[in-house]
Amino acid sequence: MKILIVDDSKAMRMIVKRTLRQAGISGHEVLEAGDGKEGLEKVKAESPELVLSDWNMPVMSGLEFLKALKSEGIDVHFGFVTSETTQEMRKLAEENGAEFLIGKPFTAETFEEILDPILN
Amino acid sequence: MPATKQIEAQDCKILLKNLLGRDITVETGDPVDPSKTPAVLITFHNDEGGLQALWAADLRFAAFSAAALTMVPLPVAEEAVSAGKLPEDLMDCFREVANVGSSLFNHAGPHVVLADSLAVPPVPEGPGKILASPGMQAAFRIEIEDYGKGSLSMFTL
Repeated sequence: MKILIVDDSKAMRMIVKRTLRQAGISGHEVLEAGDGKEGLEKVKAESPELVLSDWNMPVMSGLEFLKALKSEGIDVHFGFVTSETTQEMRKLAEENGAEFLIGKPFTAETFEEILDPILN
Repeated sequence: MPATKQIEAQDCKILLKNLLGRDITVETGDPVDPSKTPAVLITFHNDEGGLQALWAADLRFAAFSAAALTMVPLPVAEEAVSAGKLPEDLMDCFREVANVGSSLFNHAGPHVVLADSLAVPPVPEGPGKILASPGMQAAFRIEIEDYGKGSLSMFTL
């Protein structure tokens, strides 16, 4: 399975990858993108099964990225990994078709709990 | 726009402990004065794009938290402190610490997003106005396990 991590911070992409490993989520090909536009291109080119996207990014935000995926009819598991954790943002994510929202800071346990049912 | 509620040491501690995966001690401290001390200033914008909030971190907190985030060895962080400026990779990591830290403001007042990071002094005019007369000010002395102590102050309009 391919997992795409979309975050404008290289440091955070590294931490998400590390947390996936700590959560026992291994054996998957992990791809990276630095913003929503690059993420959209990667989804079209690589067809990942799961996208973990930041919310606030330059060029194209995570929400715009999600809307673009939906409007183009691309079927992929999509969730946010973001510091935007207020109820308003969670509602907005859900209304636009995100399957989950993992708040930063996160733990390996949270990753395991939320991602295991999707990946298995 | 509603005022931001006081940010508490305990909230700051929980956020940093979860983010860095290390024991954290947070105590009330003296405000960082970035007009006099080498520091990193982080600006946060509101939903209208205006300057709403600031972090002012002394070099020790900026370097130690950035290094702890990505498990960079302590001597690398100490070298940055001695040099008086964070190298680009540590600054990127510190921006991410601040990005996650923006939730402290968002649970206490108007919604903000991280905007910019800059080495100071000198402090630009916009941030200078907030520093001179903040609506909310929180000043912490923070110890990060295996790294050390530094200071972080938060200010809002």
